[in-house]
Amino acid sequence: MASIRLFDGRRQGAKRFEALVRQHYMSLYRVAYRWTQSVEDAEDLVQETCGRAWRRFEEIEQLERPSAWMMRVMYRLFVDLTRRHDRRQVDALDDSLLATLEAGSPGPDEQAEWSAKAARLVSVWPHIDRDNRALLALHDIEGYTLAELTEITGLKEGTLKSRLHRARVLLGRMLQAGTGEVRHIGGGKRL
Amino acid sequence: MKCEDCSMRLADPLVWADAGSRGQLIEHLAGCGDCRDALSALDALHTVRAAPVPQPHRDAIDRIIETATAGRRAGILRPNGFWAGAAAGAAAAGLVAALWLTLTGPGERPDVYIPQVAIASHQPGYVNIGIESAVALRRAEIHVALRGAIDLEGFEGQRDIRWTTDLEPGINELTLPVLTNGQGGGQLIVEVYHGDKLKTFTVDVHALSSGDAA
Repeated sequence: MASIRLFDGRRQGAKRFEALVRQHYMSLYRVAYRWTQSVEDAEDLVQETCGRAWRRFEEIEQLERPSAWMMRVMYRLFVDLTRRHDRRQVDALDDSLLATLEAGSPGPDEQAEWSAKAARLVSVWPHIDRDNRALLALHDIEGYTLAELTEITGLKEGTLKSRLHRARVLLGRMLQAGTGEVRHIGGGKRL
Repeated sequence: MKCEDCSMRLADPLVWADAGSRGQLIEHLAGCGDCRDALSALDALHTVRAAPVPQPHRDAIDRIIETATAGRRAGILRPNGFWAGAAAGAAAAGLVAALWLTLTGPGERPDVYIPQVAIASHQPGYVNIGIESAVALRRAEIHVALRGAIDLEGFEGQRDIRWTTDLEPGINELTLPVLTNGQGGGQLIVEVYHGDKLKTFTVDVHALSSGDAA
């Protein structure tokens, strides 16, 4: 008696899944890195996202934009992540990002001002709430539109505008103070 | 101008390029400390935008794909192991059902007999289905559909599973590890296609509560 194996069928699914991941990997990784400022943490975040994508693969394969689904999952994973690694990230952050920033600096003449600005951002970035950090990175660094953010976060456009503004104001104040201690803006509301 | 709107316009280079819009922004900024802070933040964020992201580790994507697909329960991607393992498990657990069917041509009378099996909740019961073929059949398509409150172990949440396989002459055994959730069971439908031939087989699966088992 012969045994029938389903493995061939699953392998075909795995191949399609691999193609999907390879197609969207760098955009996921890029955003994850902006959020975490760590190569290893970004890879972990993408891995967890892909793990969930595989478990729902048959469903997301039918979607018009599976990348939006994956980004939405990664966003939730990031903002819901426990904060136990945040302290380590703060400590490890400066060297990593500064090295990156220096590698991509525009030219020797602008180097000092550029590096100083980047260094100030690096010092306060981990002190911003994860959800606000995610929004700032997606919209103001990676250039995602409000419509795309609505799809990713599930928030309404008006709410996103408001939160982006408040996050920018807080970040601006932190940059000026050179610290993450500034916690209140606009009439004492907390971000 | 509301601060939220100002903030969004600050981030839009096209707004800055327009003299009229630029004038409105500057006027608002002159009297609004919050928006000046937001502008300062945007300036820093746009600086970072220009910075390259470091490359991930070279083998990261392969590891991510491998971990993601292997992480699924019951070894979904374990090469050649899952179904062979399930069949071996069936011998240990006792066969729930062994059903034999023969591929028939179009227009032939379909099976009307629906066997019943009972499976204890939350642990797999193995339903064995034998597909008999007089000749070797290359690339037969098998479709397993699940209805009601049952799952296949390792494929939780999937209601339809399709794949192609080669059938050998004689009896080809397909072992399905069926899970019930104690809510009444469901129906397992197996369809085998080859060319214009189709065989459909249905099994009613009942959930066996612990009281029933006793």
